[in-house]
Amino acid sequence: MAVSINDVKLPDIPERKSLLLDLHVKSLETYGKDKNDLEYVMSEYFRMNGVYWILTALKLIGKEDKLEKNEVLEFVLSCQRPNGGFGGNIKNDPHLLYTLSAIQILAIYESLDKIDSDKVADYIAGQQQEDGSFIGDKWGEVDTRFSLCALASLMLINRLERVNIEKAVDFVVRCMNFDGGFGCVPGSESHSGQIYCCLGALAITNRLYKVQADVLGTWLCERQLKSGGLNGRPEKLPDVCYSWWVLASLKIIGRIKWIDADKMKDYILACQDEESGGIADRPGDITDPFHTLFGLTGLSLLGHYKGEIKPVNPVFCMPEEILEKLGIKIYLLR
Amino acid sequence: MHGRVKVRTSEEQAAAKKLEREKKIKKYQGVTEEIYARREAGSLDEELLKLTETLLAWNPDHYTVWNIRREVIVNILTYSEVEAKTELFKRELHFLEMCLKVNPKSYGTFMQRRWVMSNNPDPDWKHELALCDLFLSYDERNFHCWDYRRFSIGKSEISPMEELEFSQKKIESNLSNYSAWHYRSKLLPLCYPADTLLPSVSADSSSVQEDKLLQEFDIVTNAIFTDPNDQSTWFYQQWLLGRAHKEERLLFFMHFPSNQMLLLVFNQPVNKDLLNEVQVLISGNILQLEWSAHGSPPTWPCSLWTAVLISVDTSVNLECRFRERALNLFTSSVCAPSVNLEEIGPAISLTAAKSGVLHTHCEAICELLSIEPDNKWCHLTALQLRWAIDPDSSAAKIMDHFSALEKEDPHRKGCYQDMKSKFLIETGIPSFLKKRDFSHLNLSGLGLTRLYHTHFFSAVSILDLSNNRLTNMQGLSVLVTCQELNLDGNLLTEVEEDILFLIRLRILSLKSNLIEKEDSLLLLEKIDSIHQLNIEGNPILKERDSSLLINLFSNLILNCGATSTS
Ligand SMILES: [Zn+2]
Repeated sequence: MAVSINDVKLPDIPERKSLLLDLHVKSLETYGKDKNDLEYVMSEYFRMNGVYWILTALKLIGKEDKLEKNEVLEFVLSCQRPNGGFGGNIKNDPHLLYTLSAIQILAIYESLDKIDSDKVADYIAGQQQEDGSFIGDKWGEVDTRFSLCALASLMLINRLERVNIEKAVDFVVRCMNFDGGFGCVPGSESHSGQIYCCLGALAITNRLYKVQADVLGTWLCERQLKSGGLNGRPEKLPDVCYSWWVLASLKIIGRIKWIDADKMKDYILACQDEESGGIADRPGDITDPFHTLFGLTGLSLLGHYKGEIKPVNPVFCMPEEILEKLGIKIYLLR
Repeated sequence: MHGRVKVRTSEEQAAAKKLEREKKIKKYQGVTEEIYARREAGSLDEELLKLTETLLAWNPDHYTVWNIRREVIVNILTYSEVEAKTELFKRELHFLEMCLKVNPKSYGTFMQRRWVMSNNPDPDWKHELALCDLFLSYDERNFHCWDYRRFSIGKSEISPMEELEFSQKKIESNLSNYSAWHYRSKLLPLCYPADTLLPSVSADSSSVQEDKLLQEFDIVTNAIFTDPNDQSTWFYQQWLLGRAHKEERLLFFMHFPSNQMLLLVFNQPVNKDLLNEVQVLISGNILQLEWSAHGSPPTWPCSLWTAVLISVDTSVNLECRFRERALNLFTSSVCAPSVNLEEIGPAISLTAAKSGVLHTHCEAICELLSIEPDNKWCHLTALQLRWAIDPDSSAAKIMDHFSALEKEDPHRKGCYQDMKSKFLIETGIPSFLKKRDFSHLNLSGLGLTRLYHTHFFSAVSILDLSNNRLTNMQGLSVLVTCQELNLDGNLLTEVEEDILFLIRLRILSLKSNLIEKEDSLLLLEKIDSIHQLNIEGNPILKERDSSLLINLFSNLILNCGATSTS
């Protein structure tokens, strides 16, 4: 049985040969201004993530003033629930996914003093289970994504010691697979998004030596397809968001040179929308802040457009300058 | 956000669409608001259950609405009779099945199904497995469904052996079903656990009985012949080959009286606990020593350990004991054990059985390669097998595979170059150690892009790494006895902290690299022993007046092209 190689062909559009930064700023800035956008309305429950994507993208290109800081801070603080956790929006329940985004936003605005760190840490530490895993909220879903959310949040508010690090690491290592990758829970198949989360968790806990860097690196660089784009698992289509999950993972394990940086750039640029700005998952699709951010961070990790996009931290997906200010230093593999 | 194609529409169409969208938005927002309002009012009843149903059918990842739905179910259960309870669970499972049909990859829906089944007083796990089979038949790679299947298996009385057969069937029907190969790698250690488990991660193939593991090569060969372009089988084979798990051994025992330093080098990074098993004796008396890791980030396992040893007569006999072996130092500063390289080296050790199977497998692949000389996966497979079976005598062929890979698959050049570096260094270790003369080592002009296993060279005095393609100083920190280091003609952009661990370094040559920043050169000031530095042909000299640099390094011989000072 022949394997059908899933890939796309890049369109030959002259405008997409360069980075359309001004258009991207415009699209990030106006995203959500049209309240009649069905997609926007349907995504209200994870608005916290959305704000983090937009703010981080703007901050990386020095245009964070396009967002109204006080408005954003007010929104973030209004999403904190009595138990210390943050919801995805004002009427939504607390969850680790949104707690991390909230803390990242506060960190970027250098406003972490606006929250009671101990209270947030109480909430996060309360999500850790006996086996070291973390549940996303009180309903008990376990996933290595939540391990990263918990550990990254705690690191940003300087409360890492509030959880059992040894157990947290053990759980992540139990999710390691034959290909060196990681899945959602022990037994799950490797997936680039999950790999990024697990590597991030191991980096924050200073346990990256537990990773089989060459085995995993081989798997990760095989995610690059002929088009230059990256997929998340074997035989899947390329997608700009994997230029974050895969590239950040390769960066963390010191193997980013294992993919073709120029081809990757061509792919990301081809996913731009030269009319309304923004970056999409694949060429010709509708753009959104999520893919716009991860297109820009991908370019940053590869060292493209150094003058225009600031260096991004591969573990926290935030500008390096913010982590430096917080005094956070993470050992990566080289 | 995924896979939504941007379509151009006429103004008329756009206006009609807009109207339609506005209606939808109004309805969606209306339902959402009502759900929140009813929850706030505490009306966790059938009516709210219906509202959440409407919304979730529309937006199955709305986590708060799922939470509310669970609250309602919990509430209804508190006052329902047994029959009504059963009916409620049945209805919920039916609703979830409908949701899955609309969106079979929703985290929220699978999460709810787990929750419902965990709380269901009368769970029918057979039905769940049938449901998984159905959804896997639509999409055999749906990882949500695979995970839910494993969850259901865990609750049913189904043995790993039956599951192994299931994975076999899945592979037989489609060889590139990566999910099924993955599952196999998880099941084999459960079905056929190896007798002796080396300390390793659970994902390692050494946890499987060898004969069963070797049988897997038949499946792999078969699969490669059926579809030589499939990557699943290659990753699986890589796992079957396993990694080199060696017992911890001492490579070197060294004493540098002038640095008041004792040094141990292990064949692999080890944790500090292991140092408790080490005894150092001076003229028969045990020394109390505090060991510290040398050159690794704090708390990481490390292959080099040092301890302070003050004012010891160089003619005295020092003995180091570790696991029934003793190393003695008498008048010399370095002691290397005469051990079997198989035992300590980084290469995989093969049993006769494994070697035989790999040989047969390799012959088959080479046959295939003669039909498909440009096939990348065939080259990779053959390369990996030859490397495992007999790296020395097949070195030329292995290098050919590397060339073919770089040509056929240029995007991953970086990966192949690093692998080649590893191969060249790994195969160089036995001859270096056998020679037992550690005065110098020449690794120049090999095209090395990354340094591997450098702790095997930690006893060398003069090291030539010139004319390679190194981009950073990773791996150099273990070269603790190195006095002369030649890094000319590499791609280094800065001097990194690794160099500070070379406490005996006297001569450092960094000619023709890409060093730009002065502050990284300043690090070198921290090495007291250094007295000769060559930085000719680096970009830093174009931007900086070399006389300023000469002033900075006034107490050493600096060669920066134009002038030399002493
Ligand atoms: Zn995407």
